[in-house]
Amino acid sequence: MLSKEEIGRYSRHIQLNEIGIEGQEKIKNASVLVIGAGGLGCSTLTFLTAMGIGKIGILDFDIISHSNLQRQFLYTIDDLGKEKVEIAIKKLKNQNPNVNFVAHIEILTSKKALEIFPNYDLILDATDSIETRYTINDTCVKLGKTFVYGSIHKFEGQVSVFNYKNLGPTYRCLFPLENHKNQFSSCQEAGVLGVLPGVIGTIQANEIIKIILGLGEVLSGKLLILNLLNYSTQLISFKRIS
Amino acid sequence: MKVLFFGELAEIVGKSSQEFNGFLDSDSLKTKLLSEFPKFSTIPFQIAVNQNLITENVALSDSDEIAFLPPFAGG
Repeated sequence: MLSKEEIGRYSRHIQLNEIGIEGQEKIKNASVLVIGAGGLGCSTLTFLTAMGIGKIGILDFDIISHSNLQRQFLYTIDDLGKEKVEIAIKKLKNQNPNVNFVAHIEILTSKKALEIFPNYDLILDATDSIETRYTINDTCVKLGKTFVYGSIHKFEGQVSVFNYKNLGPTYRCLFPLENHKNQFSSCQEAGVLGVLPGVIGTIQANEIIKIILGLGEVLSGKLLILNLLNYSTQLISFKRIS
Repeated sequence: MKVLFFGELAEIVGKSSQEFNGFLDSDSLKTKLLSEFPKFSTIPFQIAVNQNLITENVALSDSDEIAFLPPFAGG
């Protein structure tokens, strides 16, 4: 049940025929684990919190550094050296006190993933490590969880939804290339336009809401590639490899 | 045919698209690119033809759009 405060807060959602009170309750009853509280994490967490996801877990082991501030807008100079998860939760709680936040300050291993993922409906990948992405993928496949993928490179971003309803294609169906996992640049190595993770993380939050509400066409079996310099988009279709 | 390059592959080529014609299948195009841009062999990539990922060699025509797609790592 939504409280009177929530009915007011989410009134612009509730006005939409596609959402209404029933849809907003679905959002409130949903739980999402966001892995990575960096660039993608800041934008996706801000919108998931604003839109009223009932339970949001945030997993990261990193502390806030000066070079994060160019794009990770949940953090300020007063937060330097502090844990990202702790500061993100402090800011987001203030944004929407109705959300139940769970802190996971740790490095994601396969063992940890198997312990933590069952507590959430959906998993959102906002990491900057290909190795971690394979761990997320394989755990989601093992547990039958859907995960929303986002990743960025300089001015370009990729978004997809993997293992949707435990039937859709997985990250390994798109990139069965784990042996090359150390050959890719993170933002630290390659550089990234400050606004890019904001755009891509917002699209990831959009996919989460669509999945919860059963709205529109989810990016399952589709890889969206967006280039911010010329707004070219690609929507690449791919199939599940059994 | 129009060939699109993404991520680090675009940086190796120095542009995000280039016209190549006369290649009858995806393997011959891939071989040509690997020889013209040897650094391609250091980047794992997938190939899409007309926005469909391919998993084996396919026939190409000059009207096709081919995309060379590496995974991205940043977050």
